[in-house]
Amino acid sequence: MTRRRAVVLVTEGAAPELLDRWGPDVLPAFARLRAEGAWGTMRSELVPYEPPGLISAFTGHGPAEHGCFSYWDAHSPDYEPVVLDSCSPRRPLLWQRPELADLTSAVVNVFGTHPVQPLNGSCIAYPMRRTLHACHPRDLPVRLGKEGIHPAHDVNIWFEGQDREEFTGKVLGADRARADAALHLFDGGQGDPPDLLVLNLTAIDRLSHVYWQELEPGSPVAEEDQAVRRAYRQTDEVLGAFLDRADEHTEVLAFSEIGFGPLRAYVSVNDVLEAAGLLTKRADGRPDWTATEAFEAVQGTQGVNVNTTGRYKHGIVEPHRREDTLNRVREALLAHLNPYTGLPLFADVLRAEDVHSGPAADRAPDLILVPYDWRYLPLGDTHWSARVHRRLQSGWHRRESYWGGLGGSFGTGAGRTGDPLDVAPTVLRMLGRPPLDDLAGNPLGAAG
Amino acid sequence: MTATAETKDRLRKVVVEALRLDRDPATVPDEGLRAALDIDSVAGLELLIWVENEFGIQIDDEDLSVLLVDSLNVLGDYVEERLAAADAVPSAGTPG
Repeated sequence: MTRRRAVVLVTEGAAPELLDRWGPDVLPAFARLRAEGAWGTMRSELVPYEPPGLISAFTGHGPAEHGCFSYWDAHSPDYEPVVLDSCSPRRPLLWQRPELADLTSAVVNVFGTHPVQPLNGSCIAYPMRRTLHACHPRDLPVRLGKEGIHPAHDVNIWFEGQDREEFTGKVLGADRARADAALHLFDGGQGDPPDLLVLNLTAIDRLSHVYWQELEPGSPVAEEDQAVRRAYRQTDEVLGAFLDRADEHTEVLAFSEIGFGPLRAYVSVNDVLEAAGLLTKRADGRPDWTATEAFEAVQGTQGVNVNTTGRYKHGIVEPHRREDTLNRVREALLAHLNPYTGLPLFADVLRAEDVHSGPAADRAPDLILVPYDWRYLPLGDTHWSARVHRRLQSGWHRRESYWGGLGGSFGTGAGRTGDPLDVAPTVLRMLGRPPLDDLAGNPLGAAG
Repeated sequence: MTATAETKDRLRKVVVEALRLDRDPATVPDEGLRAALDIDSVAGLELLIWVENEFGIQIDDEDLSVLLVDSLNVLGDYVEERLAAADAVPSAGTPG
């Protein structure tokens, strides 16, 4: 049987409107993928965020199955959100499944891969803390370094209001290095070429968070110098390099689990809850847990938790009163006007049980907030919001992005709207592997 | 404890190779490496990975500090401590 190979390129944060705005002159590889392959919209889950999207894509199971709703656990008993890692997902990533034990893989920069687990191939993991140990095999950074390739992890490149060119250069440089590493591994630079290559590029997302304002009318930055545009162009070059490697045995899937759009302001949900008498603040501005019924969950979950006894260290809401608290929180949030616009802040406030169903649904926040205007979003837990300088951002995720596939299994032309869950079964088909019965999604391809 | 000249000489060569410096290893100073060689956080971590590889030791994440990449004396001491600790642990298959 002929060996099949698959490339999966995640272009995190790619916005369909910007792909259209810049078109084939600026982004020729995206245009080629669209013209020669299959193409469609990728629509994220209700809350567009990297961890649930990526883990859903590469486990083939939704958050209520794998349990990752953010970079952090939404329900830490002591209220300090704990960072999730490779031990957190309750479902295995595709390349860890026993049915695919013979598959060789190279996995580069995917959330949920650190601490790095041994695999049949190589991995440059995505650590959430400063570490020397984020690769398999362990000496991979030195081997790559001797080839002139020096990958860096995003956790070591942090935005805190520094010089624009310095930050942009480091973010683009990190993506370029991880792309060089991926190409080197794919081409067999460290042994046998892998069957599956997964590369997650993050420059589009990271620079869109910080420099989205440059895309808007009135910006003093010339279009060709826009940081976001530079990220798209570099990503396009990488996509082009992989499209050039496509042949009758090698297929390419590119997608983003999240789109992007403008952000005007974050609004503190805790302030709304305080005004409604549901939360009491300490002198330092954080909740007084002994006098708080409900509080904003960690960023990315876009939710509110009830301070329930038994679940939290200082819980004050007895289980039989939880329903009443949920109702009062919901009423308060739906009635609240956005102070920046005078319009509702939230279009809906949903109960987790109405959104998620599965063994890990209890890891979701108790209430999920649906913004009325996606340019005004919940701030999230104040500790982490401050740590990541969230209020300095001018762009945030959206639900709509894209997927595109090149190769015989995709066909040519427009395809249906995809879901991150569809990625895993698509990869199996690219590799010529039989479907796995437990996966929820379906392979992506051209309609008809 | 003071790192031996041999250890520091090996470290100087690793510094030049890991950071891709166009200079004679002998010119790498004992102290003030970060300023002298423009070592930022990314380069510092990469340097320590190369040090691990050169000496066959493991640097624990809990031990990461600015001093490790700013001083050959501190780094050399750390390396020698790790080597000594490794020597003190019976290897697999060693009776007792």
